[in-house]
Order: sequence, then structure tokens, then C-alpha cells
Amino acid sequence: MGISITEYPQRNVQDNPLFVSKWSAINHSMVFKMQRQDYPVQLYYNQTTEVMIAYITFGTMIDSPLPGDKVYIESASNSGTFIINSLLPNVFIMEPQTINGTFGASGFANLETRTNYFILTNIYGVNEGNQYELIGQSRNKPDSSGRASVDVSSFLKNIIGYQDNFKYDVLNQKDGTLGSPYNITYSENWKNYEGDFSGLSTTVLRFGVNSAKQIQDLYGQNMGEYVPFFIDLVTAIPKAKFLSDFESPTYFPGFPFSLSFIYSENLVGIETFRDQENYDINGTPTIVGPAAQLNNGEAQEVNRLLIEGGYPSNVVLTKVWLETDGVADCVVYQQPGYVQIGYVEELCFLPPIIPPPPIN
Amino acid sequence: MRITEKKDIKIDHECKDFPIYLTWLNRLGGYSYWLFFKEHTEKTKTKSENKYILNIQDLENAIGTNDITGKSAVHNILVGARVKAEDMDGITGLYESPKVLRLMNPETWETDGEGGTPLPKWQRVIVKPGSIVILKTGIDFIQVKMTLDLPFINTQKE
Repeated sequence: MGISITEYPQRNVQDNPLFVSKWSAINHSMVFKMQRQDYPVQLYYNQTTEVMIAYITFGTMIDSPLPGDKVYIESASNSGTFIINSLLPNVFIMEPQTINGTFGASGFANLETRTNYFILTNIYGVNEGNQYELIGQSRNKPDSSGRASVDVSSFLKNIIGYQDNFKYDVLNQKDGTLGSPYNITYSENWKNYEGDFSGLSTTVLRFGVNSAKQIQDLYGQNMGEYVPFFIDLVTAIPKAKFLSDFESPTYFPGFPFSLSFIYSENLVGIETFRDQENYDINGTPTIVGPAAQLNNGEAQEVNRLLIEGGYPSNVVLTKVWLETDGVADCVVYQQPGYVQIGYVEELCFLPPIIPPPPIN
Repeated sequence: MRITEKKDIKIDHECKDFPIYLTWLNRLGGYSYWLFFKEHTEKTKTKSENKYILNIQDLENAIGTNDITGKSAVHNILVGARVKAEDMDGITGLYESPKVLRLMNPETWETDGEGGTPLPKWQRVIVKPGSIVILKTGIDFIQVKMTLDLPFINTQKE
């Protein structure tokens, strides 16, 4: 079985599993909880003889334990460390041992013979060339029950840019100073054993935002309040907030201005528009321009968004929001790897992320 | 279908003299903006580096008795504004932000880029730490003052 991730740095917005926010504030911990499970086992405990027998239910034994070695066994209702009395193929027979309470019928067994056991996690960012780039490795030793916490926030802080390069000349643009997509792979290792890393998805990412949240904030360190969602035929969608510390920001005509927002993975491949309504001093709506379509190629990052500008003097307030009808937004891309000059492909999703170069 | 809040943005058409336009990284991980105008004072603060006494052998032609190896200088600007109480949440964000930038070409940024395209030039400033009033009940406006430390001035060194 190896390692499984039991908890991701994500939250269900409005407690609804349809709305999963994978966007976290990088100035706080961003923890993946992992569980080491060497072998899944079926458990039989004889109350009279006090002997525990554990059958491996999936895979075969790759270790070579001996009588006298220790095994940690955990089921849903109990756990304990047992000493091996004897072995059959894929079966551990333990020394008699008194158990407090009852043991569940199934669980997992971790061998203490795997000395110096640790989980190695590779943390990848995505560079300007849309390629995974190794930004760090975390080495974590699980506790006695096989549980480990891997915090990736400090690695992501290192790749957040510092230079503000937005030129206020396009409707929307991703901004590397405000956040970054990332992903992880992991492997298990122990003395004389180096495991293979788990796979690295080329489409599914997680995200860090260069934000600092406060105690008692909604969703804690998760940015769920600010993540836009779209699910076809679902009408009750949470309305994402913009990343502004003003309740109502002020636009000073003639000066650069943008709104920052999370252009989430939920909007990849679908048309998204900026809409505005302008109001005069009496609160009467005035004429507004047509909705402006965002560049979908900038999705999956924190973006800067221009407002319409050029307001006549009677306009004193504008309301800005994003909307979509879920229409596919297909973009023509020059796919990497093609040798024919000018060959392009129309994609209705972002191009897959290029795997990282091998680690030396 | 609307997928975000409707964000109210106030539009301030008033002409501003002596603008100091700032942007900052706010706590939520976005950029915010504010324009200070009219009320500001710019100062330079200098410090001598390594004073030493000259060993004078030719009194007749000596031009001094002591010297310094250089001088450090830093400019700062004291800005002030009368801010609506409702805007103080953002101004508090400015005061608390570790990353504040000042627009250096406010008159020409819209055409300073190649081919007359926009190119704002930002310069890092540091809001001097201290305290400001962020809430006072019963009033509509709060008088805000803050000092912006500008980048060091480079001078000749011996």
C-alpha cells in the first residue's frame, strides 16, 4: 500500500463538497497529512489464547521479517504494537498479548524492521514555460502510528516573485507576485530501500496565494471565500470576493488601477467576462460598455483585472464583477514538441503542464 | 451567471495637486491603491561616515583639519490625508503592508512604454513604523499622516 494522503490543504466552501477550494495562504502552514500503511490486513484475535493473526489482503510481502520483530497494527477501533511469533506466506502470527477493548476486522500493519523510515516529498512549482520545476524536497519521519505532516508553505514562499511587472495594458494577466500553482510527489524510503515517487498530474494543481489571513477568518488559512466556482446546471454558486482590503476601493482617473482576483481552475476552458454597471451621484445607472472577455490562458493563477476606465464626470461609482455562462473558451496554442512550423492546435482547456526534467 | 461579488469602486474625479500615488500588497494577496495629494513634505536625512583628522604638514596650503570618508543620505516624505472612515480598512492595510510601491511617473506612465504604451515605474518605499488611528467612533473622517522612507541616495565614498 505504501503512503496515502489522508488530508489535503483544501476546504469545502459553504461545507459543500461540490465547491472545493485548493487555494491556501502561503504565509501559514499548508499541510498534507500522510499515512504510512505497509500492508493492508485482515485481523483475527482469539480472546482465549490472546493471539492476533494478521492476513495481508492486498499485495505480497516484500519485507523479510523474522520471529521477534515488532509490527504496529491499527484498525478503525484500536491499535497496538505486537511481536511476531511465527510467519506463514502473507500471514503474521503474533505472540499472545492482552488487548484492551476490541480490534476491528481490518486495518494495516507497519513493520518496525523498516529502520530509518522516512517520506520524501518533492514540491514542484510551474515556471513561465508551463513546466514543472522542482522547488524543494521535504523529508519527514512519520510518528509511531505512521502518520506524518508535510508543510509546503515555506517552499512556495521562495518562488513568489517580488517585482511587479503588470503594465496595465491588458484586461487580465496572471501575477507571479501574488501566488503560484504547485504540486507534490512523494516516496517512501528506509534503510537499503528507495521507493519510486508517486505520479505527477499534468492537469490537476494546487495553489498558494501570497496572503496572510487572521485568526477566526472564515475557512482559516484557506482562500475559499475568494475562489470563483462554476458548475454547469448548479445555480447556487458562492460568489467569490476580490482580493481588496478596501470594502469599496477608490479609482483615481489617470492613475494605474487594477483589481486582483483568483482566476481559479474552475474557470479553465470556459468563457469568463468582466461586467460593470456605472452609477451617477443619484445612484442612477448610466450607460456601460459591453462585457469584456478575459484571457482564459491566464487562469489557474492570481490575476490582475483592469476596470473599464474613461468614466464621464457624472459617474461616481462603478460596480465590477465576473460572470460566465459556461460556454467553452477554445484557444489556439502552439503545442510544444511539434516540429512543423506554424502547427497549432485548438484547445478548450489549458495545455498540460510539461513534466519536470529528471532529478540528478 | 455572476460568479463573484459585485465590487463597488468609487470614482474620484477631483483634480489632485502634487500627487503621491501608492500601491501595496494587501493582506489578502492583491494590490490596493491610494492617492495622497497636496499635503506632503519631503526631507533629507544625512549621516557622516568615519570622521578623521588630517595630518597637516603644510599649514599654509591646507584646506581643512578634518574630513569624512562619505555621507549617507535618505529622503523621506511625510504624507497626510483626511480619509473617510469607511476607507480606513484599506489605509490600515497600507500602513501594515511590508511591500509598498510609489508611482514615479504619474504624469506620463500611460505613454512611457514602447510605442506609447503604458509603463508605470514603481519605486519601493517603506512606511515608517509607528501607530495611526484607524477607528474613532462618531466621526466621518480621520486625519492620517505617515512617513515614507525612500530608497537611499547614493553618494561618493572615499
